Amino acid sequence: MNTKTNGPLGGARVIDLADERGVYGTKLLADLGADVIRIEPPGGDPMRQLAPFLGNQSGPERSLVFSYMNTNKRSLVADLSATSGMDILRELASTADVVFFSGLSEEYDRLELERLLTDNPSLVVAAVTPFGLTGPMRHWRGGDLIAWASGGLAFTLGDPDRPPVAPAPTAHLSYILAGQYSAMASLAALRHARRTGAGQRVDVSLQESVAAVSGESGVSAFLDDGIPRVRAGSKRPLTAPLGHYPTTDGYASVLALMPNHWEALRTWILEKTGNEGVMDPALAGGPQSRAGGAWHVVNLFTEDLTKHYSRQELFEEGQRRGIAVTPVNDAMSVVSDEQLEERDFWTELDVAGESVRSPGPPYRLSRTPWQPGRAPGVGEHTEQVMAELHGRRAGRPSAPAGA
Amino acid sequence: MTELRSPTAGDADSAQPLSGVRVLELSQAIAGPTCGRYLAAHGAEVIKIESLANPDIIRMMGAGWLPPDTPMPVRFDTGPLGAEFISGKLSAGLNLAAPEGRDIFLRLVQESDVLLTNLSAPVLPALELGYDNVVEVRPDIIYCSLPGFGNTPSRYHDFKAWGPNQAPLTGLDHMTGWPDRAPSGVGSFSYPDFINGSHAMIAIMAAVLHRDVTGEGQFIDMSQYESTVTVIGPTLLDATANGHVQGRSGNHVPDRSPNAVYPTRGSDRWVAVSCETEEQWNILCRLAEDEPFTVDRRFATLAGRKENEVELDAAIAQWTSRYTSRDLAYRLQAAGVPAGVVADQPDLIVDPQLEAREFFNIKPHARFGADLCLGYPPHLSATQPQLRRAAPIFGEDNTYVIEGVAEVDHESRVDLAGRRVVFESTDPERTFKRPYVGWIRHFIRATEWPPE
Repeated sequence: MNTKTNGPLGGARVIDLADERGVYGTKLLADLGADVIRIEPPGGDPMRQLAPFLGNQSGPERSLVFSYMNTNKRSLVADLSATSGMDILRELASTADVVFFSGLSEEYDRLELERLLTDNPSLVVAAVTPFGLTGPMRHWRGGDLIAWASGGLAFTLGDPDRPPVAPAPTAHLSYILAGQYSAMASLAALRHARRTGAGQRVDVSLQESVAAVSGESGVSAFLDDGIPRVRAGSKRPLTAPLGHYPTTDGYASVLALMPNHWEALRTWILEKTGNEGVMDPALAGGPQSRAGGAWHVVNLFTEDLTKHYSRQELFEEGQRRGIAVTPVNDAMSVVSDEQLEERDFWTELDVAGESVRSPGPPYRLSRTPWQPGRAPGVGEHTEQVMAELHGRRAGRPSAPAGA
Repeated sequence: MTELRSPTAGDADSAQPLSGVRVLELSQAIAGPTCGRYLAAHGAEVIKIESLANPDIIRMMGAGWLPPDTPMPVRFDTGPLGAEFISGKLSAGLNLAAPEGRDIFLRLVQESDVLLTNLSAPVLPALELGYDNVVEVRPDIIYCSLPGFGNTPSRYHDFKAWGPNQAPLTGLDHMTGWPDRAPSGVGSFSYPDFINGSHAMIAIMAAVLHRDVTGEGQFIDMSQYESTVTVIGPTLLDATANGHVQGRSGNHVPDRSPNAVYPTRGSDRWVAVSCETEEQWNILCRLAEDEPFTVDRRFATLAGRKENEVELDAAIAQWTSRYTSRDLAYRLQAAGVPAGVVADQPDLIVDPQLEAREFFNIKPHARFGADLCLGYPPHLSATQPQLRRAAPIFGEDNTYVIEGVAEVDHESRVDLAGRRVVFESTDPERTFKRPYVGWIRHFIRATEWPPE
């Protein structure tokens, strides 16, 4: 049983009908103290079949995706393809503040979630769908890759001689954006419902979630200068240095857009390599001085510096000199970064009885902290939640969440 | 003051979820400003406090088409990214490093509910404007600070987070690109900044709900590094639990195949195709009719397709190359297969779905008449988020903020401006036309465009 103190969202009840596309949103709400009841089909949530698994062995309690995305939630098994299951959903929705859905719009329609708004006028019904609940493409399907494609950013990512790519495709980063947007708008709608008694629908599309973060490489920038934003690998032709440079143990990201950053960097290059050519006055000033013909030369100067250091050394020395140098880390470097130890960031997550080191809070609220927790077993709280509903029907006050 | 009415307040404002909430924003670039914009979209009055001594870099980007003699402070009002990150807010120019500027700021704090900042961790405490200082004048303030590396002592505490450096640091760059090459990275946009702005929004909303019930404010300590790391939890658990480091895979993912981007007719045109189920794979094969891959036994099962995925992608590319990306995307979707045009910027401008959902907004702007803003994704049926204006010009709301809210009289304001404690707008009557405004109205149709 999840035991939790009251977070800032204590007292808010959320019915969780989110698949992978929106589930990060309900995790955020649950970790801030909302009573999130996840409805799983008989046999368990399909998300429990998602790799990676603890010890690379599948099992309903072993998916690291499910375990991470469902902390602090309760699990109730109900068959939403049957009338009895739909009755439970409707009854639960009548006790809830938010019903949080993600999936295809046809599934949203089939579950008749709009009807819940009529039954419970102060309810918030939030939906993350691939293309939204309105418009000519409302029935289109799609996951993470289709979102990055249709939202305009895949076109700007990847190497010039290969097809466009999604960023970190195994991490499904568009789902994070959409889950966040849906969660924040649900909280705004919850406040409105508390103040006025009026609920509403929250409609978030994966396509717009991506398009909304595209400005730097999207329509605004393109219209302004007429330059198409295309994929350019890790080094962008806009200026140098800008991109990844080799180190003794991988790559570091270096950029020097501001004149003062470049001055600090070339002083460092001169000190380390003795190459006086880098001090050429023609290379001074804004980023345009290091584009065009100078671009290759400046990249070579920069490589001559970076190849002498490890990526962590470059990072710390660059910061000391006021230059934007960053290590290109992999997951193992992140989990062993002493910075995160010093901030006491990590928490322990119980996965199938084993304790696994897991990311901690995205934010630290001084009075109402974020809470660690674990994901429920299949139907772990079915009896408890049904007893609460039964008690409510019988006119008894329901047990508090987490009791 | 007889009337204290925000220049962006409208009659509908009182019906918005955050109406009556005043936010002071001390932010630069993207992570802080994007959060302020979300708060404004839900009805908060967001006052961006800006300095001419250290202007927001977002104001400095683009607008290379301006006449060369345009003064720098006027340029600050024309950057195309201002429409994205400053729209919907008020702007006041104030020098916090001057004691009188700090006093005015604290008067604003007294009248505010939220303070939002993404400045480096040491900056505001050094000006004695940290939480401990601010809470003395406004005990129930919600103070959200999201510097690069958190607000408590740590080895990176004083480090700066430049826009694009969180993606390499957190492992996102390492996972983007091709397995046989160095990382391509996520350099074309600042994904972590948006993630961090949204996390800040959620934390502030939770704190507002808590304050509604208890009357208590609080301090929200964020680290952009930590906030970004939390969104790749399963990837990191794979490392801590299994010792496995996820690498680059192009567009491939473990549980579906094909899942990739394929060339189509034309130059640099592409379609994304993703088969989540065997049924969708079978539909794809029916649509491809006589293509050899449809009967190739290697591709008959998901396991077989995963094992031979490079060959599979090459074979599908043969088929897709004969069609336009739009034709394929529509035909695949009509048959139930997830697919999409790999949209470039002109595709986004004419995208029928974005148009139907009014993703692009035209909002009032002091120098352009009106300007194009990107949408805020959530659509709410009762309280539709609204940006009441495009980016304010620098110091556009000094009268309301400095004289109205902080109650500095007009003569004092003039004196303070002369000593650069208050920063005023430069040539506010000077107007411009964006180079595309004449033709874009034919593609993004709206009644709010300024007359030609």
